[in-house]
Amino acid sequence: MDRQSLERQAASQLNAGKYKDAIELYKKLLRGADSSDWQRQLAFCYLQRAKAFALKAMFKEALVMWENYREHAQPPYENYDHYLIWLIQSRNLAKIQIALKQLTVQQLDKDYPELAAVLGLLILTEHPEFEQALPQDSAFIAHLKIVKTALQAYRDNDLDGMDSALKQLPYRSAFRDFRTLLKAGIALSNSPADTTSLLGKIPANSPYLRAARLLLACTLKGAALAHEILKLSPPQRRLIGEIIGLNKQQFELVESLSRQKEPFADKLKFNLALQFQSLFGPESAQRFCFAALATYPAGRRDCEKAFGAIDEFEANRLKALACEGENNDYDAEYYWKQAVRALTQKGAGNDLRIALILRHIAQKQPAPEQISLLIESLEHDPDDKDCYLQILQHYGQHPETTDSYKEWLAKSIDKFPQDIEVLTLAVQAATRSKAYKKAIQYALKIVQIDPLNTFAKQVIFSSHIAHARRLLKTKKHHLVESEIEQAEALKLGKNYSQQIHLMRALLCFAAGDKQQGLTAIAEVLNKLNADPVNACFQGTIEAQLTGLPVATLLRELPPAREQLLSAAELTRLIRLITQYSQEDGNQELLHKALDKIKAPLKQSVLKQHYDENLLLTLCQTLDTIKHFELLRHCAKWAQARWHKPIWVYYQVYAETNGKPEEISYIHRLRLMANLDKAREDNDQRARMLIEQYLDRYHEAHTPVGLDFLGDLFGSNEPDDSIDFIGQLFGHLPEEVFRKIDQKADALVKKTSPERLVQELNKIGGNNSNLLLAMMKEPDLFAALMIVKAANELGMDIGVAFKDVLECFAVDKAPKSFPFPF
Amino acid sequence: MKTPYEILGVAADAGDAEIKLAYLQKVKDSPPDRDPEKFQTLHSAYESIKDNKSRVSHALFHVPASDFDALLDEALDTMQTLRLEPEQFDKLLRAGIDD
Repeated sequence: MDRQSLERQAASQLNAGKYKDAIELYKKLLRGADSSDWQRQLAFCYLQRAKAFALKAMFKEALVMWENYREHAQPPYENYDHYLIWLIQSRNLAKIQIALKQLTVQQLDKDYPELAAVLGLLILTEHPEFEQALPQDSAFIAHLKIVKTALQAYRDNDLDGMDSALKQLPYRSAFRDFRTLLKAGIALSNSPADTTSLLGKIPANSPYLRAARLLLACTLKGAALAHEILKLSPPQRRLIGEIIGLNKQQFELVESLSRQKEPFADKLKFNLALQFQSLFGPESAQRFCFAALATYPAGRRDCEKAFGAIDEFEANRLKALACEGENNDYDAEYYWKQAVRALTQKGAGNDLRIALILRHIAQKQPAPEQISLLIESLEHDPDDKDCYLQILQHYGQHPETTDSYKEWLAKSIDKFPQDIEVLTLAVQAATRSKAYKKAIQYALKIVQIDPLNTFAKQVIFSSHIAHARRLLKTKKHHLVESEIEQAEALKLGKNYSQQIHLMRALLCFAAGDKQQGLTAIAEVLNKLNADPVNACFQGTIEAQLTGLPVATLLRELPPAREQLLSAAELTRLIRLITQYSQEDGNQELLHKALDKIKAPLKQSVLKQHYDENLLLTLCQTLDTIKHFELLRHCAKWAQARWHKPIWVYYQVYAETNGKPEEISYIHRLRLMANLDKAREDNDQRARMLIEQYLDRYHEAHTPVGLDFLGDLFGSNEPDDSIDFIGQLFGHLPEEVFRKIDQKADALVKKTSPERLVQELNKIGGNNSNLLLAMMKEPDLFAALMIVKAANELGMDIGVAFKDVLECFAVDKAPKSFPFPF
Repeated sequence: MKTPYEILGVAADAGDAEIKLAYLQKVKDSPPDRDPEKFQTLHSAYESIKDNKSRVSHALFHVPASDFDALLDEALDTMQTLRLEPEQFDKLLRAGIDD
């Protein structure tokens, strides 16, 4: 290869950073001819190689490369400080001395501050001989003398002398970090916080950094010290131990820990706690070991050997807590029950613990088991009011447990006759069963204990009014005024006064001057209600409750038919419905009263654009009184507007009149799809309502006598997660679904699977597998009926019969009939 | 992690009155508007041992955390006043070089 090509190649290798190859090429060139350029390039390559070796801590190689660089370079030589540092790291003392002698004052004091700092540390520690090789007229040597003076003062316990010497060091001295370190060390005895603060000033590239870290470790205590000291080498640990005064046992502990890797295993910690219990404190060690048994149960024998036998109760308690820690409630329950058994065997004096454990177990149980455990706990701790209230809450939720509720309410009242919470429940129960005298009795007790209790006063008021209404209805007019007066005496406020006036007006109509009474009734109703719709509703209810003629009364009121309710007026109506529902609870009367205002109410829902929350409250209220017609109307409109699972729930609920057994297949699909949506949207209320309704549907459709199979093998219902129906029809809008559902419902009543097969065979050719497939997979029949319903309605839903058959993988080829027997 | 007794600074056999007094005194120093987090800690501690039933319940259902660091805190609590001797400072400088 000619020289030019060689030169080009060498330059190319250099530019590409391939210095080794570039070196060979430049050497080849220089063998042929001399060139200062080539020399310079060659020197450059050697220098880069030297740095590369140094990065890999290959200092000997780095030194050789730098010396090669020097042979081909001109002074001043680059990175001479690096060369010196590599020499020091390779511990070539002879060469170090020679090299140090070649350092100039400029280089030592100005150009190479890092080297100067390292030399300073080495001279003070391992290589005092370096001092003589350095330029004696340098600032470095002057500062070194000051540092030696300071150190001597320190050794002589002359801290003032030391300080004064250190002050002579200028800010940019090579011994700057040394000064900080020494001051930090002095501060250790008076203020470890100052030590920490000072040490923070030593930079990361300082040769004093490691010493600083060791000193910093001395400021630590306890676990922080342990974790820090474990990172050190054995000689460093010994030094720190000596400085901070670790005793032999403490040092043994540190050494034991240093032999292990963090994080420490449970077994190691347990064993160390036992081994060093005198150091940790016997009580702390015992507490730790007992607690550690939860995660290291194998340590029980050693624990008992060290601290005495753990009794059966405690052993089971610890196991139960360990299981709970792992979310293993099943085994936890077992161990808690064993713990109870152990306590029972221990004899008297353990009743409270037994009761508490039973209540603790009860928390994780489903309702019936929970209540039995709570009841059992009362045998051991009969004075727990919360327990009684929990039992009452459970029995109060279901109509079928009314008798149990009454029984436990009586027990609660007996046990806590002066407790307002219990008395309040008693009042509510008496009101529900229309035992107004009893309700008043309990309410009066509450007022005796708490004269300001508004609830009790309201109950007394309502009870007197309710009794007055009954007296009016039964035409015992002479007794009505007394009830009204007793209600009036409570002085509850303006609205209640108007109610009093209303009662008097009704009495006047019933027993006195009819026209005067009518006028008074109308006057009060118009005062109580800002709008004719509410006035009409309240008037109707009151007339029915008191046995007075509704039509006569309503004639006195302004017409309500064309009125629309504002949001405030609708809120008033909801309150009235709730009030009369709670006071009287007669759904028939409420429905009749609502029927009088059905038209304006429906129009208002359509035209007034109520807030979603207000409509939801209305639906909840209509649900309470089971007025499904109005509920359907509201839910339909709300779903069209907001498209949320809660509205689908109310729609389906209203369409099925609150009877889950009447849910059709399409209803189920809609509820399931919206249950998923409710979960995604984190809509807990909708989720709960839909789940409960579907649960009730499943309960209503469980084959009688085969429940035990369901328990053994899981639900008898088809696996809803394999949702062919969803796949086929999930794209359809709710409204379309609904229409097809109604049609499909009607068709199913007159189309058997066999007939459907006949119809389909006429269209698509004979398919002998179809009937069998339908028997195996009921969803197939449902899906085909949906398509049929859509076709009959003239709706293009994008799904044909063949799509359904394809989805369910029904082919035409005849198969052997899979009779199992 | 401290026990409710340690948080309130009462003995393990303290009664209702003593516990309540300790709680009120602590709350005086750390009222909710000044130190809400500390107040919550004190309040939770008080609620868990304020009467006999709570204390029995706490003893039954609470396992003190097996806190090894807490043990180390006790074992390596170097209480003595430190003083760095000159020879130790020398060793420190050398130990900084060794590795």
